[in-house]
Amino acid sequence: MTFMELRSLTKRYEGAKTECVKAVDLKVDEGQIVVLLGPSGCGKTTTMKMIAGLIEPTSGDVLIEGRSVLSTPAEKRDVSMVFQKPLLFPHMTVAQNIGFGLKMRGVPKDVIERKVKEMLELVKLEGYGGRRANQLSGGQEQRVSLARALIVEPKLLLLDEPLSALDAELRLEMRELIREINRRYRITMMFVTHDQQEAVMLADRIALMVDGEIVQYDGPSAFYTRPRTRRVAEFFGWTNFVPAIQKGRTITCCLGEFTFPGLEEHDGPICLTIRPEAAVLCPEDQGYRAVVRKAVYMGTRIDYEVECLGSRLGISLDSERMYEKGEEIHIKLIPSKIWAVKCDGKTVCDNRVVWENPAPFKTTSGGAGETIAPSVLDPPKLPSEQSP
Amino acid sequence: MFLYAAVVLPVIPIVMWSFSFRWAYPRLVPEWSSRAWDYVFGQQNIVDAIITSIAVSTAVTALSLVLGYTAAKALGTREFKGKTAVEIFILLPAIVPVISAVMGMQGIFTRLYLTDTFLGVVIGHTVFTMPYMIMGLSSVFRNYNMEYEQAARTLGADRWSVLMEVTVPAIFPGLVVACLFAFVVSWSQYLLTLMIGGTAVETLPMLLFALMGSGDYAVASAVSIVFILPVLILLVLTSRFLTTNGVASGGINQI
Repeated sequence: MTFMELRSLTKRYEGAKTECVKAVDLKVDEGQIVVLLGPSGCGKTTTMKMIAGLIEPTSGDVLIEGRSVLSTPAEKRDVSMVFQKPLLFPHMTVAQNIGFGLKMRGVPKDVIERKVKEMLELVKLEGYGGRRANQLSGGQEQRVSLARALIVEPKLLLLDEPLSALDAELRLEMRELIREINRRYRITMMFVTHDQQEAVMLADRIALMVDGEIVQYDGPSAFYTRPRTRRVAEFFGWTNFVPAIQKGRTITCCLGEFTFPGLEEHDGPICLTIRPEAAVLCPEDQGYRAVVRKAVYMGTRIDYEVECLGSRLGISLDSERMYEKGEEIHIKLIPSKIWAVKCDGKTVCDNRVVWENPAPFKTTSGGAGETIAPSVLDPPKLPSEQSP
Repeated sequence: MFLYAAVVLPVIPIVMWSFSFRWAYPRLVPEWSSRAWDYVFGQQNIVDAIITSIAVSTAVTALSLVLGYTAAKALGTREFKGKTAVEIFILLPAIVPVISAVMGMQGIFTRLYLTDTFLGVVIGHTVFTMPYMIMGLSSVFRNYNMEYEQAARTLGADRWSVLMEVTVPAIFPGLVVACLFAFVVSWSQYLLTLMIGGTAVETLPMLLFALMGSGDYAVASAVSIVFILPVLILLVLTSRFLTTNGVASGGINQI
């Protein structure tokens, strides 16, 4: 069931040349965590503040449970927000901070006291009620801030990068806490972040926002298997973009021909995109021949830049030994980690990996200085045929 | 230390004067007498002047706080075109000498029937305390995170509650300092009170100047002390309050 809906929500700040948020449409189901993901300055916070009623939209509508809330002031929307900074009121104790929302609603003191105690337990801060905000650590402060927003039992909880100021370990702990609260109270949440790892861990659905527009709204796994545009793909770690031509559902490029059953039909130029972990080593007769141009040891995996059929690929291999520069390897590509994306207006797309020294390389079979061009070699087998 | 001396040393002869009967040339110390103090506290008009002064300065402080608050908040928290021009415009009353403005003001106030009235004096003073109030408050707001108010609003606080429960407590130390500034500026205003209040509103500085002119140094000194004392007490109290309060609550610096 749709719980909250944005209808072509737009914001243009006074004096700004372009809209900060451009006609955003979004539907959020009840009890879900929707993560609004995007690089900083893309309009995520503005969108959140428009939902909370702290910023007035230029046009468009915000609907909660089917009713427009634009005319409802922030304090009556039942939408609480946790900010990037904990923003605990410095002149109050932790307990007073948490109880603030209930005090504003005129709830009797004994009820507030009881609920504050419950909240302190929930965020694992029993016994901290009498402290002042500046006697807490960053993680504790943010937990108090979360409790303060939760105590009023909001219909919708907005979280605006609440974890970005915390260190990695605390962040993990907080994500679990937020997830647990979402499951236990069935509270609908919208979470803003620029960290795709965080988005994937928390989200039921991710809305990727770039330059004020939502470019893809999908379940987390879709971003790793079926990105819609090159920008989306780049954001989710797709590193290779090979120029290609699409005809129907078939894509032709220097690496061969690929057919994607799930791909939208389309004729014209397109980008073939390959995840770095799409490549696996294989016996000589089964895959592409590739020559290592650069190798970087990453601990569990080794990142390589290879030249393969005239195309430069960045791949990440789980190899036992590190291949040296100039060495020849054989790779095949896992079909589920290849996809085709629109080039965001760019008709030409090249590989992101640029050679510092684009000299021709030696092959084991060929003569010195022979450059391997796609036309020289036999067309490779289709990846779909290679898969077991 | 030097600054301390510069402030304290000139006060010593004034104190000595106020307790003197006479202080003629060759004597190092005056002939002691409580004559001046008896006179000061025996005079009804001095007590009245103290009350008037406190009333005027308090009213002026309150009025400039109410008028200056929103301007200070806008200047401290927002960026807009022509901000510097607005700031200079607001500073004008503090830059332009009172005497060059007061003639015109008197003319206008006469037409509005505000001369010789308490209200007229308060409005006149407020013009000159506003720069101190606005600049004092806006510097406080510059370190203030507006998101505190947004957080409070999403928690269900209406505008009035936000102001009283969140904003005022958060900026309280700075608020007190700005008010103190406005109070002191109003307290020591002489010319403006003279021109607009005439004889109807007699504040302490007016009396002080009158007594200075009379040539009785002992009485003038006593009145001077009466004049300095309330401000001094206020200053000491607020500075003590601000240090203890500031340390305990962390002020707003931890943003």
